Amino acid sequence: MSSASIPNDDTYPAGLPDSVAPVGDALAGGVRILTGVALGSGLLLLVGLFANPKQFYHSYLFGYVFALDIALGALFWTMIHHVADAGWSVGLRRVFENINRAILPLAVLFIPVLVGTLTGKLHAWYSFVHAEAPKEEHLKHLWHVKHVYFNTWFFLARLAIYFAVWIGYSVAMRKWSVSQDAVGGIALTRKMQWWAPSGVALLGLTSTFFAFDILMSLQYSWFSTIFGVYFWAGGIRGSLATVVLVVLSLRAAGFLRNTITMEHLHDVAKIMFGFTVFWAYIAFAQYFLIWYGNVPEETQFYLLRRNGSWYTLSILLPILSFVVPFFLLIPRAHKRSPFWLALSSAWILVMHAYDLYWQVLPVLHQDTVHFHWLDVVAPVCMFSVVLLSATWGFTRLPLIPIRDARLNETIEYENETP
Amino acid sequence: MAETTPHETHDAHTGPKFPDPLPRIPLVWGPADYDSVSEQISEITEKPQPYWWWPALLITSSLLCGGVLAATYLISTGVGVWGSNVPVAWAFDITNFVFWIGIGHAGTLISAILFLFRQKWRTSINRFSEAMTLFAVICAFIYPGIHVGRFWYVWFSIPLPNANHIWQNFRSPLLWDFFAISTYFTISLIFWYIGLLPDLGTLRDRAKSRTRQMIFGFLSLGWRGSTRHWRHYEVAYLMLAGLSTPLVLSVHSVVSFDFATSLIPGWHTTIFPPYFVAGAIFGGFAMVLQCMIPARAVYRLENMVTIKHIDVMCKFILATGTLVGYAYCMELFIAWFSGNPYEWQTFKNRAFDGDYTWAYWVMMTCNLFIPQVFWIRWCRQTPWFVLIIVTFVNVGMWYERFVIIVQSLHHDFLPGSWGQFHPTWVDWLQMIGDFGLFFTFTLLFIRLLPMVAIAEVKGVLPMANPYYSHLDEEAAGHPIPPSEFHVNGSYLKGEDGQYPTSDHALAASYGLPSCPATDVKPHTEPIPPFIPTPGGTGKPWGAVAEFANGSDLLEAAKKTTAAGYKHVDAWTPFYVHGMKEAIGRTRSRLPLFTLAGALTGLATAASLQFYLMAYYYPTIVGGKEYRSWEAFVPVLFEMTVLFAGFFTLFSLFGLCGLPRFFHPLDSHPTFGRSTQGGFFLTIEAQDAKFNPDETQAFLASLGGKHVAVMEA
Repeated sequence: MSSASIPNDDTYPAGLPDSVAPVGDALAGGVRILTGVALGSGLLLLVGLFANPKQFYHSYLFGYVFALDIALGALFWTMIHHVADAGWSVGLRRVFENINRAILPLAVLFIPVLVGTLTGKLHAWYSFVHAEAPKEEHLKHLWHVKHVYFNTWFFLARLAIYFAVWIGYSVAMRKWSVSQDAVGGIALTRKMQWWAPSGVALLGLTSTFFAFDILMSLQYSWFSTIFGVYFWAGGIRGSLATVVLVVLSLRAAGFLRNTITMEHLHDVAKIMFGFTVFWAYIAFAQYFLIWYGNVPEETQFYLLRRNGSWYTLSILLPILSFVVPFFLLIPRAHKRSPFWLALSSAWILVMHAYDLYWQVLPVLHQDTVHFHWLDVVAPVCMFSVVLLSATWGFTRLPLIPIRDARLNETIEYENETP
Repeated sequence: MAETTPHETHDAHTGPKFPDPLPRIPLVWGPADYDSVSEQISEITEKPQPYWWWPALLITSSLLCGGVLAATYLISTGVGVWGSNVPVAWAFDITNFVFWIGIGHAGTLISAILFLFRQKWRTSINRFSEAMTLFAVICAFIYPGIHVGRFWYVWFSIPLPNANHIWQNFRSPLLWDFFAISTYFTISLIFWYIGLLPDLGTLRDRAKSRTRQMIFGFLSLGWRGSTRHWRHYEVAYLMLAGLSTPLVLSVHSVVSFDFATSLIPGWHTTIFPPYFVAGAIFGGFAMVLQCMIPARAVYRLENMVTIKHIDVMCKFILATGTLVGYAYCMELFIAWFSGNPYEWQTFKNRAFDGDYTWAYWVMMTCNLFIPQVFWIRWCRQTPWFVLIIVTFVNVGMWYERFVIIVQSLHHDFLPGSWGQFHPTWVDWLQMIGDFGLFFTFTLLFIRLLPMVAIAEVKGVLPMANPYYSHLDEEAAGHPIPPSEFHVNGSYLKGEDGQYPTSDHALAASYGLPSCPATDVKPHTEPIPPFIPTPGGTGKPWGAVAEFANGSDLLEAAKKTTAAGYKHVDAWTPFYVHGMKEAIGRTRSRLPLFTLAGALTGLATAASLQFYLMAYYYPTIVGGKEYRSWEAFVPVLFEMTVLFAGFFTLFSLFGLCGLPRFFHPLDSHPTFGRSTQGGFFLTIEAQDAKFNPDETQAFLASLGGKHVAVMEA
């Protein structure tokens, strides 16, 4: 799309500590493996679709939301960089831009979720709102509300708006960033800073309603006002973990070693630590208020996740997803060590998947955990799509925004800690 | 600006290396150096106040007296003197309580969260907002005390062994409130005091009268700006910032639990904790601006609290106002979407057809719609206009609490118990009395203590960058000769007596109005010649030398440690980065004490709650099991933070050996400048390499002035 604006080698500013030219064929081996994984797991998903459609749709939704959450989180970080007029994270911004590129393929990959919903195999509300109005007094009001909200055209229009916002901002932000690589100057920085705040606001609103429409409505009589924030908090954390892993892999492959240093990653680790606590705060606020209130229409969410071995998973969730990464990331030495950072990020990424698995799959297997091979294949397939989209960017665009107005602040950045 | 010549130099510290840099707006505008900053801020507390100060204090303290009267009448008569009634059992009292707790939150956000995010513009406003936090929490804390009626039983909320063998109910949100607010107040006080330490030292060293010397000498605990202290101090500050950040989230979350753990429609909703926190920061920022805009105009602080500061704070108001608006919309949407008729009834009544619809739309207008003007730059950068908008925000945030509390209570489940609320004159007097209390404290604070963090502002001055002089040379295009040592203490003026600055031009390039020049003059009192102390112990304590600025001192310290000296210390008015390494020290181990405090607090809270609630006097509350842990989490968290804060404070004092009211260096005639604009290097006599004459000669060879050996 933007290959025309890629600068030649001699247009790179002098004094960069690394070569930031597009990696080109250097990562070809990795790309081949990723493509193989994506195609292979996609094929397996297709097998799953015919072998066990209901399981397929639920596993697919789980994997899909896992990847989408990461891409949206990356879009959020790209824009928040401009909102905050940040300088230290300029080098990282290109990585975020490359990851949120995945929103485009993910928009296409949403079709199976839509099919699952509109054939009634995924969301129970489909048959509820398409049936006759119930006679029971306690269901009448519920039915009228859901009937309006889940009207098929209204539902499709909302989804179209969400994807339009996400794709629009993702494409625009990347386009301006890439054309700045060619022309430089601060006009484009100003432009991105002008548009980013509205993008953050709209992203917040659309991802909230996406979470309501697709995840919260899996149990359609359940509701929680904080659910949008919960969805967002998970994605923020997941995308940071992905970025750390991608950057560490690039560094391991010999790229950007002196451009995105441990000083930058230390800061990313601090933010990841902060959002680990934030996720726990939001998760606890939701659980705690529902637990304390003890009203049936609210507790159904947690009661469902107490059946059989789901209970074990529910108890382990806060421990594995909060306590373990909390202590993994608290020592300063861990935040500055590639090994510990990779371990913590991988852990957080897996925990992000765990969280979403725990949100989606109990709806299908209500009695107890029935682990299915599709529950592994789906997230692997979707995540490899995210990584492929990111790699697409690395192979074709400079690895950092080479003419960003704040480049001076990110190169040789030193983490100021007492 | 886009046509700037590219700099192709390769040293990171000699200026921009890549083309088209976007310059950062300086945080302090106009000519300023360490002395002028000390002078400008300290003078406010040293000189007589402007003529309006006394009448203002008279007004606010009269309002405060009204509040005291109202509270006395209430306590002596009973809560019936308020308009609170049976469906609306909480009204003005808890509205005011939540309002003031919220006001406090901006202080902690500015002092702690922005510190963690390295937003250095906070240095100009953090002291003021932290003080506001304390006063607001005091205003809030009145209500849990007096609204129970029997004021003299308030001590029952403290878990003390007592003859009745009655213990607190740790599953009650009201008790969590008690823990949250007292922890919040304590930690904010510690944080504020630690931040004040260097500035109290500045006031002590500037004091002319014996009384001021005694008071500030005592309060500053003998802070002299030793780098060995700074290295613990900076880490302690970081630890407290790290503790305050989750604390500020927890406090308003716990306040929201007062409502959200109940089943009242309009109260019981899961978004309450983050929604309350966002609202608190929103209202708090509005109050900071409400007080700061007049203060900066009156005290001519436009060069420190610049238009840029106001601009950024308005952006925060816009962001948090929009977040609050998001929460309003989520509540309204879920009330409908849930299909729960009770919830929808309450919200329909609230927003469309009830008795308090007007209050709801006042809230919506003031909190969501009006702050949207801050999308426009002019609205953010025009102080009088900002002042109008933040007044709306403060009104809106008061109404938010009023709507949540009164509207939800007046129409609950049973139509038979519906009612109305009509405030009495006691309600009004009490509420106005709070504002009296708040502004009285604020006026006294402005009068008595530095309202801008002097040491921190010095640290963000361009000249605080150890490589500043090189940047200057780059800008000037020729090498600048080493700064002459002037006896009047102004080191950094150029040869023409002017400060090198291009800030005004830079500000103008951003479309910002350039700041008015301040009428502050640098310190001109001559330093008396050095006279050795007669009648000392005769034993040397060590040698001392004064240096012109931070970068000279840094160089000298590096050379001293390289020469083999071990017991070296540097004394600076603010923390100079790299100095602790230069004197041969490493990162402070203070975090281990903080961790120990956290674990102690956690263990204490856990054993206290489980023992009392599950074993000593097992009670079933709200149908929960004896050992259910969930309801213990708020107090577990608060006590963890409380203990960690205390451990941090006392380990800081312990590691620094404070208080230390007398020090051999105090008799050095210019050493008092170490808390203002002076930089000193000392080599102690216990150093194996120490020799009075050789060491003095060594220090003089490094460029030190006023070299002396002090007696122990």
